[in-house]
Amino acid sequence: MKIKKYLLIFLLLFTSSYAEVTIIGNKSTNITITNANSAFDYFTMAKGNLKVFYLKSGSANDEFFSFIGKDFNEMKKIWMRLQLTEGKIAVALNSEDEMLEKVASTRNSIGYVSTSKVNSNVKSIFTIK
Amino acid sequence: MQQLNLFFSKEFEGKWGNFNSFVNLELNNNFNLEKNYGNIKLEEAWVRYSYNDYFTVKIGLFIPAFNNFNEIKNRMPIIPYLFRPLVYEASINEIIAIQNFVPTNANVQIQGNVDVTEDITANYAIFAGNSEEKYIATNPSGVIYRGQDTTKFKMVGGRIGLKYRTLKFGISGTYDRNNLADLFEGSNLNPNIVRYRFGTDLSFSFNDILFEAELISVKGELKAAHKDFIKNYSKNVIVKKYSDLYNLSNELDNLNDTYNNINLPSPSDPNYINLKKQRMLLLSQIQQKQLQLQQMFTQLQKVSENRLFLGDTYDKLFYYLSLGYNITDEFMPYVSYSYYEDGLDARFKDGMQQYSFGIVYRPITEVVLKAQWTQQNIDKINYKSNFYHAGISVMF
Repeated sequence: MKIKKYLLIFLLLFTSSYAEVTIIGNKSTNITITNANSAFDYFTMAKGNLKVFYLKSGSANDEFFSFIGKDFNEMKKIWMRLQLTEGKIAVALNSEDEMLEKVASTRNSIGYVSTSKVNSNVKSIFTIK
Repeated sequence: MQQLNLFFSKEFEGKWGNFNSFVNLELNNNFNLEKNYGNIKLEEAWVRYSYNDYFTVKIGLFIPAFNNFNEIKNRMPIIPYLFRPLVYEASINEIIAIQNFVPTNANVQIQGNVDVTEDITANYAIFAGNSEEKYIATNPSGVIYRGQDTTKFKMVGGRIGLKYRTLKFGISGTYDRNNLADLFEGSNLNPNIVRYRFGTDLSFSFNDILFEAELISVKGELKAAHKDFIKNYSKNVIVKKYSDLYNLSNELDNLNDTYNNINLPSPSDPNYINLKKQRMLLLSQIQQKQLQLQQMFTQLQKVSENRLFLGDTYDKLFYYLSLGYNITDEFMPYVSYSYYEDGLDARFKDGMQQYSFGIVYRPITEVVLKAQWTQQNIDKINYKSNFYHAGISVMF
């Protein structure tokens, strides 16, 4: 019985821990993100004329979408609407390494990765804590 | 297949800002050139230049920013409906014309966003284009080719709105001309009626609830003479057309009699050639009159139909409300209500209502299975009809 209790506490502690995520941009990207709402506006391309990258899956996704207050499917529907009406395309990427590479090489672009992955080729815009 | 849209988009970036080009080709009703099914239409083709958030300009052929639903009415994968709110439903466009309520295309639009607070953004759009499609030439004539708008009438309009995350509110308006040449044909009245459209929209998604609502009011500058003409349409047009038809029919009878009274002598008779010429001339006149009679009969049918559905004012009103709830990520039921009123159409003068209940199932974001029940009511004439729709929208 005691073992089960400790196991439960361990699992709760384990599941509540998370990897910190940072919103990153190309070095040419000149924007300021201060909260979830401004992040939402930039990632839904309502502001900034930015190229948006997102991850197809991964733990960084959970943290990021939870922060901006929309789940992954809702955001995909918003991006689909933008693509079909405005021709603005949010690009899906397979991994955080690819995200770093794409953001570093695409002018006026934004994305997000685990904070531990951020390198000097990209600009760190906002850290989700 | 009811509808297939092919989208082409390309982004360009330079030191002066971003350019974006977009083409939307629409194929309807099992388009097949060989069997002459359906049709193909260049729905949109535009270039957009974005200098910054405050200033973006769009040039080409596109659907302007009027209320919320106008720009997405044909984007089936992102809307829940199979049968859209009344004035937006393309399949009943011959009965309720979309362009009577919203501008269907424009040629230049300037738009932008301005931050009001850290979280609230104001946006604006100003657009211009030709007046409605009814001004476009449909028959080649002289140097005018089909598809050309030869009128001087232009449409101008705009929308201003506020946005907080997914909460959007806006007011819209247009000024243009409504081509009522069919109605005022045969009179000396100016059939190009000045028209104002006013709209307001509100939409949001909060937690799992989706809500959207719109209202559109249309006003026309009908002069007293126009109203008088409409009021006395039977006397002014139908009685006159019947009288013209009667006179023409008499003329035709007389020509027939004259023709029949000319008996041709034998070819050796010296009058033979003259009489033969007279008969040929009469025959040609008879054929012309028959053609005129046919045209006049078609016109009479048209004006009789006009009379049958003719209301007594111009003003129009439309509104709709929709509420959906995401039970899961994939599954959303919704209810929708729309109301339509048209003072110029006796059928809809006292209003028409549409109730809908639908289910949307989205196994993946790009695929949507839809089912919808719709009921339309016109209380005054006890009209009630139920429609059941099922379909799938896919984006790839």
